[in-house]
Amino acid sequence: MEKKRGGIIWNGLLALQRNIMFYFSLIIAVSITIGAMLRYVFKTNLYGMEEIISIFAFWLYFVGGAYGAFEDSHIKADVVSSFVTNQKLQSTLIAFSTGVTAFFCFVGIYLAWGMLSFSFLRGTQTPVWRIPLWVPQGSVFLGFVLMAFYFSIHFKDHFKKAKEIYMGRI
Amino acid sequence: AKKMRIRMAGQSSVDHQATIHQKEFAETIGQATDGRIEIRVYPANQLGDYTQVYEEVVKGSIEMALISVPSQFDQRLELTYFPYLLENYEQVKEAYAPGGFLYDILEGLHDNLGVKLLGFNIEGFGGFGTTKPAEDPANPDVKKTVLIRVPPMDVFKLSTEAMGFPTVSIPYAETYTALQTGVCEGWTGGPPVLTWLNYRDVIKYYYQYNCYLETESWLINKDFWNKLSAEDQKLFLDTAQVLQLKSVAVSEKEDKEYLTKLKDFGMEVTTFSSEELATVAAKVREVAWPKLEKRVSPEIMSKLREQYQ
Amino acid sequence: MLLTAILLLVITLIIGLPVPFAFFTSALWIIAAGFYNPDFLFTHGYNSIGSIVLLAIPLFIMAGGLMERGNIAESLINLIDLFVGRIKGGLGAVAVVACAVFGSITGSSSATLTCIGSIMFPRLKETGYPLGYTAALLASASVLGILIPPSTLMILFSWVGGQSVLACFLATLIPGIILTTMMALYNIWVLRNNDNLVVSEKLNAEQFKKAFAQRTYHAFPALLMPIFILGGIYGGFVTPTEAAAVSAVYAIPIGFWVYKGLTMKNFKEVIVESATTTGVIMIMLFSVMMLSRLYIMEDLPTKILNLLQSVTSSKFGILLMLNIFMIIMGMLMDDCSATMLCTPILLPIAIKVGVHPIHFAAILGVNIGMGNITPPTAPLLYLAGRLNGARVDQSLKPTLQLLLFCWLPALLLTTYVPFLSLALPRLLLGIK
Ligand code: NA
Ligand code: NA
Repeated sequence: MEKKRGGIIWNGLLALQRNIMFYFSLIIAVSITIGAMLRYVFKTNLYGMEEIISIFAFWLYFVGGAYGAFEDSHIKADVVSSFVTNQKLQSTLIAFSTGVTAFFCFVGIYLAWGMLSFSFLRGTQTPVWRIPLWVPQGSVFLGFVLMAFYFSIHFKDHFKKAKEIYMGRI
Repeated sequence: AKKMRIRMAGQSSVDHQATIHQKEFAETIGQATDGRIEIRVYPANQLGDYTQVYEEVVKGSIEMALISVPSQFDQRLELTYFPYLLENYEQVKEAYAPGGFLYDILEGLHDNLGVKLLGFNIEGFGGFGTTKPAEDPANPDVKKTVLIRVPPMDVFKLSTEAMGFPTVSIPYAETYTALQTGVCEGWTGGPPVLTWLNYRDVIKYYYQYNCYLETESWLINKDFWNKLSAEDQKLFLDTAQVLQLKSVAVSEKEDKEYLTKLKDFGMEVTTFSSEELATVAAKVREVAWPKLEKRVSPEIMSKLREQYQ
Repeated sequence: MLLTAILLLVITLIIGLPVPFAFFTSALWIIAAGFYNPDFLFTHGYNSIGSIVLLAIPLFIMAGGLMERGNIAESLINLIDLFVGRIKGGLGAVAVVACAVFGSITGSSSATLTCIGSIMFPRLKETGYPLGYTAALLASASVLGILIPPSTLMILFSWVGGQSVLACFLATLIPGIILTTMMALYNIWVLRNNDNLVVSEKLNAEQFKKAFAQRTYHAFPALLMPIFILGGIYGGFVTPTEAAAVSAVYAIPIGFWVYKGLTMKNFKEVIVESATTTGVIMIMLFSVMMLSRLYIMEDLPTKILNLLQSVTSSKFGILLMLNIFMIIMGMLMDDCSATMLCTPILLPIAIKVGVHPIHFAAILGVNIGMGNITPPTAPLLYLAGRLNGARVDQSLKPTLQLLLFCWLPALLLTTYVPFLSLALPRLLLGIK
């Protein structure tokens, strides 16, 4: 990040994401291990457990993906930063591609909302425990909301930087 | 008239009868309408697995499908996987034909969800494929030690346990590997043809329990259906029915043919007399069915019971 | 339309859109140009990544991270050093072999690189190895993390292609061992005239025996891991997903109390880091699945096959072109994205021209694994640079040499000698 951002909400949100990532990872690893041991000892498993694990997994995936957006660590072809040496061109391209990314996150919010509201209205459920499907699918929606938020902020920063380069301040 | 394009999703492999019937369906419709209706078949889960395809048929982003029926919208649809619903092909011809009791119940359930049922593709009576022999397989009261993989659904778990087998739920994608290494020692549900196509390299024993009837359903989005002319609708229904009857014949033939193939391949195949099957079926109906009542609703359960009075 | 979609994909990748969003852009273009209703896109992505089989990937990443922070690799390296450390250029060879051994524990190449790299880079620098060269060598060797089983890449391939995970794991094993040997030998050959290198002291038989006993003892808990993981999987105790979970759980007490590298603080850090990596990969899978669904609906595989067959009809020639196609993909994207995009498109073509799917698994593994070090998208090369401080232009030339002298020959061998990839699956699994 260009500069440190503060505030209870900003930091609290990040801490919440880190905690979800930490505990959900452990829950998944430990419960799969226990499941495997139970099968070995009792010749049966925790029936329907994979259904519950996969809900934790979805939340882990999308909260993690959003955290990757905050860190700006999504995989990129590093052509611009490694091979473009012209400062103006480089900063323009970075600002542009971040802006496009943020835009597509908003498109993603729209599509995720479509999926979520469909499950909600139709009352779709998982096969064993009949858990509503909006529970895992909410992660997709929230993931895109957070990604849109973080990429928009990155865009603002990169845009400012590009502007300053053009104005000759950097 | 305007040219119409239909995407039809499927789940079976390219050489399976279901896919062949899908292509026949597309061809028949194409010829009968002089190419006015063009159906493109996407077999082998190309457009996603049956859970997703069903959802898309509901939404209309896939117009047609021949798939197994998932239960995320309505758990009563698990009826299609009910153990020992029927025991032989004579009953199948009747119950699954339009007007038959299963057809009627299922048609109503799909209709609630915005899906029109056109018919079924019947794909054989299922049994158990295992990697080690089962103890006294004809007697459901004998506790067996062969660990059977079941899909994560109550119908499969409860009925397999009623037959005396311990179960473990493993996702379908991991089943082959699990059988290969011994994480599980058998799987339930597949008719001889599926056992041959997918599992012949890992399975050593096959038990023809006839516990499930493998079926896929011909489904079409209801809004799309309502836009078809009455003639086209009739054409679709008739074509599905012709293929349904054909599929019964094919299944009957394939059940025998592939059992022989499995034997010739070196597998130990066990078949049961109708009395033996009746004992196992009675046990499953007695033990597993009551527990499944909450899944399929008391109304449907009483309709099922009527069939066995 | 398809051509525009592919062009759009390439352009967005080059101007620096994150890979998932480049896929997303291309997918939305097809949606718009083909008048599709976009409603199904997210449903498809969501359903695709819901498979429990895929959970093996985050768990292997997590296990790798824990082992890295837990100092598990150090003991392995010390043991290997005992055998190859005393020849000139031996330390480079130690690094290569260490990557291979570590590869049998972890399923990911970046975990291999951070783990082995963080220990070997300082040592290599001390002994006088050129920075750019070591970055290139370790980036290249860390690909062994996905060629020696377990392998996240092969999990992806088997999942998309409907093949046995176990067979796919075995398919890349011999090519992986060949590459290990080639890179170790190449390293010694390149450095044969470099007089700056320091070589570790010779030990007499008595000292050697003592050191061997000591170092083996110390490495024992780490050496147990591949036995746990691979023995567990092939012995039928656990599924690959469970093996990944077990190895992550096993690494926790080992890292805390045996190797004492883990503390409460870095424990939480490393889990959050691996969860971020997981999230980043899964968002990518989510979007690539949407794109490949559209490619299938637009019948891209058939179109590519027709194009290829218009150029040549021989199996030999088509395989060559599939390789070139994958090399280009590997230049543009990371290994997971490239696997997800190439498998549904190229596997049907390979099968149609008579290539065994498990043989193709190995071809794809070596080719796309190599993609990790082919610029412009060369995540491992950049990661290596970040770890040891080499600039991209310093490591570029040695990377190209490694590609030319090790990777291309290995790729050709894997492609045109099916025996290398099929022998083990046939022997151990009875694959026909
Ligand atoms: Na590995
Ligand atoms: Na690359």
